[in-house]
Amino acid sequence: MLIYKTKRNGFRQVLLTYVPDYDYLQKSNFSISGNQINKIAANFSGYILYSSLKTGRNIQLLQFENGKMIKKRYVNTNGKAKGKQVQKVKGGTQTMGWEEQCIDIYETPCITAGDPGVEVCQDPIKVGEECQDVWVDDPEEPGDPEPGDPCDDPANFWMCNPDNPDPEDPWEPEPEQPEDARDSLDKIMKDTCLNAQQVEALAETLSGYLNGQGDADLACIQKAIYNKVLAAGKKFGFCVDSNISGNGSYNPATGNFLWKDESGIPVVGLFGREFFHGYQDTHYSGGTAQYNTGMQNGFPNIEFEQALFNDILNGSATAMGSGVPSAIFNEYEAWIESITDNYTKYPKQFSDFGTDSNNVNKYYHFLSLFYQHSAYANMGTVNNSLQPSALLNIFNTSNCK
Amino acid sequence: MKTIIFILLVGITISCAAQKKIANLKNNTVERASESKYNVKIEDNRVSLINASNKLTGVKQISPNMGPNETNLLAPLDRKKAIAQLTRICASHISSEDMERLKKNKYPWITMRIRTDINGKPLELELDVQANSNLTLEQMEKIERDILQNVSFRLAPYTNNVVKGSNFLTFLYGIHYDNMLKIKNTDN
Repeated sequence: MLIYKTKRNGFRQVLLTYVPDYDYLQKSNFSISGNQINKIAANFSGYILYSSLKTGRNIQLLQFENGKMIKKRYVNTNGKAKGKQVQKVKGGTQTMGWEEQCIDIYETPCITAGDPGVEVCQDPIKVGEECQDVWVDDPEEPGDPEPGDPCDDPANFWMCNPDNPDPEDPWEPEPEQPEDARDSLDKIMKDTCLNAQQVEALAETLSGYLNGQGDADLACIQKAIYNKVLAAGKKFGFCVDSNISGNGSYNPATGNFLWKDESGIPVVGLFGREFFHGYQDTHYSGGTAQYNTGMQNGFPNIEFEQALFNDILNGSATAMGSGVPSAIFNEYEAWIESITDNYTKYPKQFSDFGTDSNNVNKYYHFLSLFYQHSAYANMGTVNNSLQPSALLNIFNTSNCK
Repeated sequence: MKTIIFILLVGITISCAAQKKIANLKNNTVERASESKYNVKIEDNRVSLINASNKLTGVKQISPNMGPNETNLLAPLDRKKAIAQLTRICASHISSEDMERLKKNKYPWITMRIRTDINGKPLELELDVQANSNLTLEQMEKIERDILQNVSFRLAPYTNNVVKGSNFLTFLYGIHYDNMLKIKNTDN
């Protein structure tokens, strides 16, 4: 909801409904959290529907592509005759006029059952459509606005020009989030090879990471990691490097996050994985570069700790890789379920990992299996005195579960 | 009348014999289901079933552009959807009674290793189930067929460059009986 003050000191209230394109949703990990009421994400594609809070009547529909408004559609409120007209404009003609446009209404049927609840969702299904007469023109070649156009009213200037808020307007709506996504990024960024648009996308990714993309448990633990990094005063570099293997990496020697290409930047899961490595770098005395040099003693520990953290958070059992024998997958999955009490709590002490019949902590058993079977097999050497204290510390101090 | 009863009994006996219970399978054998043959391996009270026509079992996955941590080929929501779809397929071929029994086992899930092409289309499956179960080879065959025909993993867009050059991709999931049961109960 947008509440704004007009120049005549009146207050107006409008509802903004964000209708993102599927492709945008996919790129942004099915989150539109990067869009705020006074700022559109640089890569946002889709529509914003303005409607009256009082009457529910739709006022206008703005269409965006890659963060830029490409079309305005005003709702017919004065009973004008339907029909299109071709108007001569600079460099050619443009089609303008009233036309009936319909928006499909979709719902995603989800069922949650059991304890702990498991949510099973199906693909979105069309449940209906909403049609209205709209005026279609091209804002890049503005024609003569129609009488009754809400954008004629100077009080609506901000609403009609979201990219260019009225500089004379003494009042601008505050962002919905307590802290701007870009501010959050600036606090942990020392330098970057990314261009402005990529930085904007990264800020949105960080925002998605911090709000858990709607998952309160994830938001809690991920904010805790971010705060630990902030408290340590650690800052990182961010770059794209097509020469890295895999889709992303963190280099503790340089403190740089690297993506293979820019398509990885909006991926919150990928960012989260590498950001945990950044957190490890701040947590372990002397940083984690020490485990990446020479014989790389402790390198498998660092990687297994991250993979285990990822599995505990996401209710998965992927650390050993998809090529591992089923027997090991089964044993590992059963262990994860056991140490999290079926994903209802986090392990907080090293003893929570359990011990085998020889009283050896099971963490080392699975670390050994990880070292033998995962995609990190035989990289570096296992350090049997290095406990996963970064993981335990964050679970122990965050009070998230 | 006696003849009719006799024919019925023979029919029932043949019908029962046609269903091969997992619990009765022997290690290192090849067993025929309705249409396919399966290589059977038994270890640690789990039965591994591999379609005898599979070509990729034992073939090393080569992914020149993939880093060691390949766990994020699917976006989180798409991963959930994929698991939900696999769970739904299993639930459609297993009775609630069997699910209730099997969910109390040490590993209360069907382990599935699914090899796909680089577009996420399944090519082959390996199934791993509790050895002492009432499930039959024919049920496993139906599950396998259903998955090969109806499932496709939606790879995250950012993996385009990562999967390029791979001979195949592998997904490994435990499909839990209690989740199958929840779906079955919700649908009924």
